Amino acid sequence: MAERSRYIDPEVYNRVRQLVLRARTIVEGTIIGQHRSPYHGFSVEFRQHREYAPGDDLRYVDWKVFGRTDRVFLKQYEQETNFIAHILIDLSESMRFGAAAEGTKAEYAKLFAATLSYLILLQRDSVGIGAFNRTLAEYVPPSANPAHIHRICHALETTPPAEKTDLAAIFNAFAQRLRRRGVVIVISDCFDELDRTMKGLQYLKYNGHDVMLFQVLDETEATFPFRGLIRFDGMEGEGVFRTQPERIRRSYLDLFEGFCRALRAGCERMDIDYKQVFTTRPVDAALREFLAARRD
Amino acid sequence: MLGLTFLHPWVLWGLLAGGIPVIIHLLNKRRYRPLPWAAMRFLREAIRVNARRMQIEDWILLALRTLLFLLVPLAFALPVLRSHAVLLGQPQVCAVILLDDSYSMNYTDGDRSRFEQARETARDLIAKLRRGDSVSVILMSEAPRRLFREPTFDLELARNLIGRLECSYAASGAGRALALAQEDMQRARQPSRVLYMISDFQKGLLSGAGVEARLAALREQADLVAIPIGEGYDSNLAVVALEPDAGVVAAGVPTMVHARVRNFGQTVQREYPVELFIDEARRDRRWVDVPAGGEVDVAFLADFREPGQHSIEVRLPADSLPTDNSRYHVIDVREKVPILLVTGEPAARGAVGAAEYVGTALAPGWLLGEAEEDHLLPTRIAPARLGVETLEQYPMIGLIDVPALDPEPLARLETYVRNGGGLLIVPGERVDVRHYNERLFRDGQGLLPARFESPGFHKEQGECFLTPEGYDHPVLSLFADGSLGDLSQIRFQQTMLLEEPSTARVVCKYSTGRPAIVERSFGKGRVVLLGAGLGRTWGNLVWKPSFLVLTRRMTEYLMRRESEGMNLGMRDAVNRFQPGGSAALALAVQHPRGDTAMAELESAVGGVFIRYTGVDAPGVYRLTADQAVVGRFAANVDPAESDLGLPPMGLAGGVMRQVDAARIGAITGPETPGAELWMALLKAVLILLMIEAVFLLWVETREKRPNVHESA
Repeated sequence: MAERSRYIDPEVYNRVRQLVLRARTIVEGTIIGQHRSPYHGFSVEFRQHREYAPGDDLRYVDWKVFGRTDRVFLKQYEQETNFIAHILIDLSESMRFGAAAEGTKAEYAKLFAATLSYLILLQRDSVGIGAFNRTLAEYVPPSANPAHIHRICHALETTPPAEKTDLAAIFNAFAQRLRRRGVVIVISDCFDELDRTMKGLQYLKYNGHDVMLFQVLDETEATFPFRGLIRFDGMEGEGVFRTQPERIRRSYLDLFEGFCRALRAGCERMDIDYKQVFTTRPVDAALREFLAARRD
Repeated sequence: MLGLTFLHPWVLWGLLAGGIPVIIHLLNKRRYRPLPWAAMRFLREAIRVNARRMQIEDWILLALRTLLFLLVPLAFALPVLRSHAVLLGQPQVCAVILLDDSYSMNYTDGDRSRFEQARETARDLIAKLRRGDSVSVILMSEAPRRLFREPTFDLELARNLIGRLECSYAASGAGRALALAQEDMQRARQPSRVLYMISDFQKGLLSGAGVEARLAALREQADLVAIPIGEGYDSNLAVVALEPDAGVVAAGVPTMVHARVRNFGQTVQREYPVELFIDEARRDRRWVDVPAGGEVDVAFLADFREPGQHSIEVRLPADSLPTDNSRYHVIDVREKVPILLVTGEPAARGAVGAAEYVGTALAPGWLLGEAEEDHLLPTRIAPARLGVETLEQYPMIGLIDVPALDPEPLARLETYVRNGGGLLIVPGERVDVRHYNERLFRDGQGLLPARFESPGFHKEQGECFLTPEGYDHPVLSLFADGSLGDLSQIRFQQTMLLEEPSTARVVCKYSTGRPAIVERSFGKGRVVLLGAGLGRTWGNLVWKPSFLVLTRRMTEYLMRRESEGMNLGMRDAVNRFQPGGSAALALAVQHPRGDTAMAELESAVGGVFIRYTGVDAPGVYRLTADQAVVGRFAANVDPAESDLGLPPMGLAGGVMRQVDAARIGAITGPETPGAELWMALLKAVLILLMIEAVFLLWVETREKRPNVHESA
């Protein structure tokens, strides 16, 4: 029997199994009107008719309307269906940072992604995962199979953080890959040009996906508590800077908080759920908070 | 230039510490703790916004810290600003007061002596000092001494002690006093130092060896202020010398006493009375004219009826400086004065040799056995007995035609002369010239005043007679007027060849130019050497009347030293031999002012040595045992102190600035005060530390905030 992945934490999983992640937009599930078993899909609600076009599935023809009008119309339903979730996890070099005892942002993001995957699979929804840095480094296509969690965890374990990233390019490329509207969950520190980040998110949103953004941060990045003589070495090749942090702390915090506010505001404008998560926060707690605050 | 000096200049090496902040700053560049950082975009922008400000702040901090490191050693080097402008207030002062208590300060102006004025001036000076100032008081008379072991801050005590001081009878000892002042200056803790010299600045005060150099050295350390006391003087006459013709005389034999009176004033003194006292009883008075700036010899004939030690005093009328108006002398009067004649001639009844000639010249009745009338009592011995005789009982010893001396008797003879005895050497045909040259002359280190030239004896081919070159010497003084004989009538057929001496004095020469009579000092005693023997083969000396006078004069001259142990200067220590005394005897010394102290006694062969160190006033001191006076000695002041005229070059040749004693109130301290800067510098250090701390706090809070764009 294979060793259990470190991203499978029974305690965490146990705490999240009561949670429910719902898609807020109309997504195309793996089954649309496919009710192979009562365990697939959910209750269906008739929404409207549309005229038959050649090639449409005849199973959805409203024969009653045909009988009345001699015209062929299809029924369209708004239904709670199982969705396909795509988790995009940022594994660029900046995610390697971690001052907390809890570990790096990357490790936290991976655990977060795994836990989220578990939750989605528990809901009988499909989930796939794509790890990216400069390119899409690893991709696991979505599946609703509960055992899919292992594959996801394995992909996470074998993909270390490396290189820089270009969020806009990644998101754009990924958006073009997705055929059906689903849920796209981005887990990243978002340390890229804000304009480009928002543009990338816009690509995803443009195609009708339900996009969620989890900005994973180390607490020190938000509080900048350092004192003394520090030589800051850029993790993505930005160079080396020597300074006394206490002398620029306020400036740094202004800039950082301003960025985060802008990011939040941008997400709000695009109807993207945004959640800032610190690696000191337990994953299950962070998820709970997010889901509680998420609007239906 | 402000005249900035440093009391501890070696501390300025600490200025190198000013480089420490720079070095720390440079070393710190290597001490940055590395930290991988992801959110570099924000950090970079924050640094960019604050870079210039931080650089300026860093430079300011570096400058502050460097200045701190520079100011601390500067402060501890104790900088003193010597300028006419007192920048930082009156500095603390160490005042060294040299108070002249030599006897010239006893000169009275009106109703106060100059010493009393000087004492008052010193007290006024101390009254002007402030708390924190220190004072040292040094008395300037001979053997100068301090009132305190080191400069004292107890100004009130100093004033009180000065008020109780008395003027001394000693002359001034300025050189040693200045040396003590130098020591006190070096011990002073205050940067400002002043030396006040309060004196009458009489002519001899600063004329000693080394005084000028000491004043120059002191000038480098301190402000020198001369405060003259008194303005000139009307007149001053003093007895500057007093000496009898002989140190030892016989009772009943009159002896001349010579006193020299000098007039230090500017006007002649006519019919000036000069009195002679013997044993405090006035015996004679003379009236003399003493020229202005000159002196006169006054001779008295003194007659001592009883044997023993007698005091002689010559006294002038009281004037403004009474201390030098009397001079004292103690003379030893004996029943008979024993003279020892050591002769190498064999003693043969009826034979007349050189010893007999000398003995008869001294005591005409000696050969005839009728010496009762003679006050000199010759004793003839062979050289072999020199080792057993108590030589100290004889004021004079004659060595007459002695061939040679064994080492031990020679050593005893040298000791005798060295201790003040007189030795007359009369050569003869028995004399071993080589022995005398080797053992008695010893290249000028021995008793013999001149070396015998080879072969020693010399037969004169032509006329040879005595040719005095002057009559100043006491031995020849009576022959000056010719009434006692013409010395040139003394002819010699044979003489001793003497080398021209380098360490002795030629009293008289032969007509051939060679030394005839030579004398030298040896320790406290004297030796006279005749350049010829006595007797027919030598010449006609013994048949001339002048032989008697010459022999007596030589004897008296040689006996003069006998009295020097009884006549002392101020602060001289008494250390004299008393024949026949015993250390078990309790001997007291009665001071001229009346009080008594015990003398120290030390046993010696044939007597006892008497020691006493309390000679601090002129007059006659009495040695008493069981209330009876058993001896005397006299002490006199140094006549150099009597010249009250100012030195020709002014006060210390211009090294010292002069302040009138009446204007002591105008003295505010050193002319060029040294402002102590170290306190100001330390205050500056504290202020800079506070500024640095505040600046650091300000630096941490005074951050430039960037413009933050929040729209995406």
